Amino acid sequence: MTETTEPQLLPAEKKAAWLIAAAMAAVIVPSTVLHHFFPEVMKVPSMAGVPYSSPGWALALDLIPIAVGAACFYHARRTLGWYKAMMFLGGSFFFTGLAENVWIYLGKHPQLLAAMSGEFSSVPGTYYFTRGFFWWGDMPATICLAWFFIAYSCVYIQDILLPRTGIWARAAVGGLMAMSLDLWLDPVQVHPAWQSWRWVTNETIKVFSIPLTNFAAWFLMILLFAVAFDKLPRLVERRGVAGGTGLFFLLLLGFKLAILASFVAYGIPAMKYVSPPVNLTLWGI
Amino acid sequence: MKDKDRGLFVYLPIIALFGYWLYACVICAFLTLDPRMLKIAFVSLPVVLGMALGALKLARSAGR
Repeated sequence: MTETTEPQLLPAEKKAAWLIAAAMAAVIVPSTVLHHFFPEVMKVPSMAGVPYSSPGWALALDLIPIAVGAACFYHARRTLGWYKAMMFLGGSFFFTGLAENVWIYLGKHPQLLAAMSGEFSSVPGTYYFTRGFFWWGDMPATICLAWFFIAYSCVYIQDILLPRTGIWARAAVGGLMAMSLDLWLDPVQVHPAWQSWRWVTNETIKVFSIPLTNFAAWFLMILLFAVAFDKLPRLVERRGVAGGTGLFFLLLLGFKLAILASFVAYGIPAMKYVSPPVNLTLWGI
Repeated sequence: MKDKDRGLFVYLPIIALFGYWLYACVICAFLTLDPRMLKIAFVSLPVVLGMALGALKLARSAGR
């Protein structure tokens, strides 16, 4: 992320950028309408006892990540140009959004987890989000936006700190920074005073009562997204804008499936052999 | 981008992440009124260090 002039937008880049914007609108608008007006369709969990969960509060609190996301998008557009800025926004939005929606869906239908392995037959669910005004599926759209600006900032910082290092090492630094952020953020946000999301899983290894896989996911999602984004210019160079854009999203989908597969592979022995469950905690958190 | 145009712009992603950390971690931890939430603040030292070093390196490069 070192470019400092806004590149000229090619027609194919403009088309790709518009397609991503349209895809984002196409998932956010119906999800938001269904969530607020037809909650039974989405099987929206009860908000009983969740503070600040009225639509007014949800909208007010959504404005904070929207403002932060807008600042990062402005920076991305000025430094990378419209196309790459939209690729970063759309890529991180759909990569993380799809991943989280799959995990939440599996939590809503734990029989699917049990079908993967008998070790998961006692898993009551995964997690779900509570508060949000704008939604994509079962996920507040501002959480996807937060993934965008956290990824963008971490990638920006990693490139400043290690400009001449290989992408995997740089991306690992970005991933570690993001994971470090969530080590504090997650316990605070699930505290009874906030309850921004609720963990349902009975995973056997936890840190501050948060499943270990959550922190692994934060590290892997930022690391793998940073690697994929680094490959984007070469993909476009070799396959053209349309082909490169498609391959970029396919690469992200492949990474997402790899994360899911690795968590299943980790979960089977963890559920079988880690007994009693372990919670690495301080001060009883 | 010329140096005179750089200003705060080059720091924008760092400021954004810092602002979000301040809101979602620090302020929200205070608002829980649970001192344990503040005690575990040290776990986010790596990201704070990353932001500080990044800003420092940008400031030094601007000074050259």
